[in-house]
Amino acid sequence: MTAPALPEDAASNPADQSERLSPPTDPDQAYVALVARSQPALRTFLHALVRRGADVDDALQETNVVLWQKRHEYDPQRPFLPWACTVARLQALAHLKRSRRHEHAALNEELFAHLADAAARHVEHTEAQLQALRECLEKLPQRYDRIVRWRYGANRSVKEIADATQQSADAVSMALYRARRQLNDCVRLTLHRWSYA
Amino acid sequence: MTDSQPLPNRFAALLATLADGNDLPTCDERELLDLLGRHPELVDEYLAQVSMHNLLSWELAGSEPPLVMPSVDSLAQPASGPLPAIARRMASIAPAAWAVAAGLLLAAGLFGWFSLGARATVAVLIDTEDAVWRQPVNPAFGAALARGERLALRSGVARVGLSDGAGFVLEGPCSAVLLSAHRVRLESGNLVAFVPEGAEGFTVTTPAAEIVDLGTRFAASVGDGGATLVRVLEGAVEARPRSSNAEPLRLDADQSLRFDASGQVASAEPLPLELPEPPRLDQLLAYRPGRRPPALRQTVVGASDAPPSGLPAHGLMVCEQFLARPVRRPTADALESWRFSPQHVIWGVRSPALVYHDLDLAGRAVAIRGRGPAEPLLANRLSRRLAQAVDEQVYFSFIFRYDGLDEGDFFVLWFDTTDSIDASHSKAPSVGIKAGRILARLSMAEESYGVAVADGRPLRLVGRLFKHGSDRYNRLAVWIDPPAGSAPQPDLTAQVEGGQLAAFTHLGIRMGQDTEADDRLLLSQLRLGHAWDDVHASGGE
Repeated sequence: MTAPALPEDAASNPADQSERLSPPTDPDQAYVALVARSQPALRTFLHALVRRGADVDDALQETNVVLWQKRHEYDPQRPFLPWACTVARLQALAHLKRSRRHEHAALNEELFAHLADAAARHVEHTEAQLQALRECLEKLPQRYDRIVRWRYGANRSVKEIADATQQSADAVSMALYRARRQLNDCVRLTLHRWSYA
Repeated sequence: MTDSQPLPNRFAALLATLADGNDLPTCDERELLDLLGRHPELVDEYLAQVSMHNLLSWELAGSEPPLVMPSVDSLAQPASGPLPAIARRMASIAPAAWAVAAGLLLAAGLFGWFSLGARATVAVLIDTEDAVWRQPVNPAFGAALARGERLALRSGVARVGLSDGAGFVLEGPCSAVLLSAHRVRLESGNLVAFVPEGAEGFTVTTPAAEIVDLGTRFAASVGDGGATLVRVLEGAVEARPRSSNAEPLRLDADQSLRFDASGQVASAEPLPLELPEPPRLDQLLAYRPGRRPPALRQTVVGASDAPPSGLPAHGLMVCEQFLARPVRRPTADALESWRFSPQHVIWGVRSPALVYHDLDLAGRAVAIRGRGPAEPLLANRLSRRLAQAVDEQVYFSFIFRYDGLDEGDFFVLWFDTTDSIDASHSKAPSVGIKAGRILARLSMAEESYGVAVADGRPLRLVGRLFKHGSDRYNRLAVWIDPPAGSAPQPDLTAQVEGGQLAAFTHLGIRMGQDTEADDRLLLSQLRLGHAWDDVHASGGE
């Protein structure tokens, strides 16, 4: 994951008295915090649409830049994430058209729109999902916990894990698939439980 | 994976590859999209897998994995098996506190861990104090120690947790060999053992004696020629000379015994020692052989160093705003990256609110917790290496707030040539809080104190570190909440003749030994530059 291209800290610009001496609710500061907080959701959204890792990182950088440029268009009375996903969706589309133009793979715009709508709905609850995930990781059976932590904690590739355990890459990949599925189920149940708590 | 696989399997195989974080070949990507287009009911599963991949990447990146690789064979069946005796005993006969501890151990899977590892690990190094090792390579905190390994100290102390549940501290000069997970040979020097319930039977052999623990704290000291002193601090031991088949002698609390070099019981006399503290129960629980203790797991994130507009970029060497969680590079030696334990440090958006005057630093601060009881010697820290060594005058500034401040609390921003986890930085130039007041120091012996600091009050400190008639840093000036404009007279200065440090390559923040786990140091707007205006722009915020 490359660094989100967050904007400069306008709030600490000593040349601009209005920003510098603004109250704690300074809109730019609040906006920066919103962009920062939305990074996991935006990356998930872009990953679902763009898929290739380097492209996802590029699209996220571009999205962050555009979000900053458009900060004055954002209505703080409205939820931020759907608005940010709209920006990200346009960036993803532009990126796909640009990066895949030589691959003779016609972009299925209908499917793209369907995935974008569904992904935008899915990532609406990313913050809550992350909270639930922490609880679910505690409950993850040891047989899955280890492989998940090797893949995501140590950033080992599936092949590296497969080599080290003398298993096939497919077996490792499917174990991770099942672990993610189990975590997803747990997150969904946990959020459901919280909503009725 | 072949095209002949039925739909669910083929879809799962393609999606698993994507959600593992891999790029699909163009043909596979096209096939996946085709499946999604023809089977819209698969979209939910697609999003769930992609989403969970990103959530896990966000949540776990940089944390240390278990030392032992997973066995994929074990994924087919639940991990279970006969419990070692200690676990059974702890779970069945222990009083309430031990029952909790046993539950923790069992839940953590400690006792099943060893059978998976290829290494004959029998112990873990918990921590050290001022340790000077005899061996050329110093073991790190949390290092796995194998059967047969020799631990030899010239001076200082080292605490070790054994996989069978006992722990001991060695005090140098000393030499000891790990014979097994419950047996140590003490060749010279002092050893103090803590043997919790369930780990009885821990044995120390010396040239003259064999000491078998019956559930206790005891000390053993081996002097010239192998003569051995044994003193029981709590509980009881059985000790016998190795030179004969004599019946073991039982020693109870506060009793001592001496075996001379030939193994004869010579006399009973107390150990004339200030004994070092052996590992505590919570340390033994946290430092589980085979799994890296949470306190030692390191996250590495890229430094941002993007100067805010209005500050001269050319003069800044560090300009960290702790925004969000930026680049994660799980390589501990990455240049210009911050290292910290995610257990102790909350970065960016997750840190508590911090408001300094009219400046809202929400999402732009780092929060460092006080020390946990399981790692009393680990200075919870945040550190980074600089792009290049610095050997000239520097100015620095940061905004901070200490929540939960009391007289025993301590934190400093230090400048040093290492950020090794066992470094105390006590001889490095430092600025922070000690004894409830602002501290500036160039060494432990030369400390200067400023005004008292109120719990929870945000402050900005600006400092100037420079050399005066020396090739080493020997002057440190500190301003507390300085006004806008040019530098006034400093509020606090520290100076030494000579000095220790000619240049520094690292900077960091560490919390003191007596901080509480609930304490929070919030820190933001950390800057290091060449001039006052680099770090404290005219007008300020």
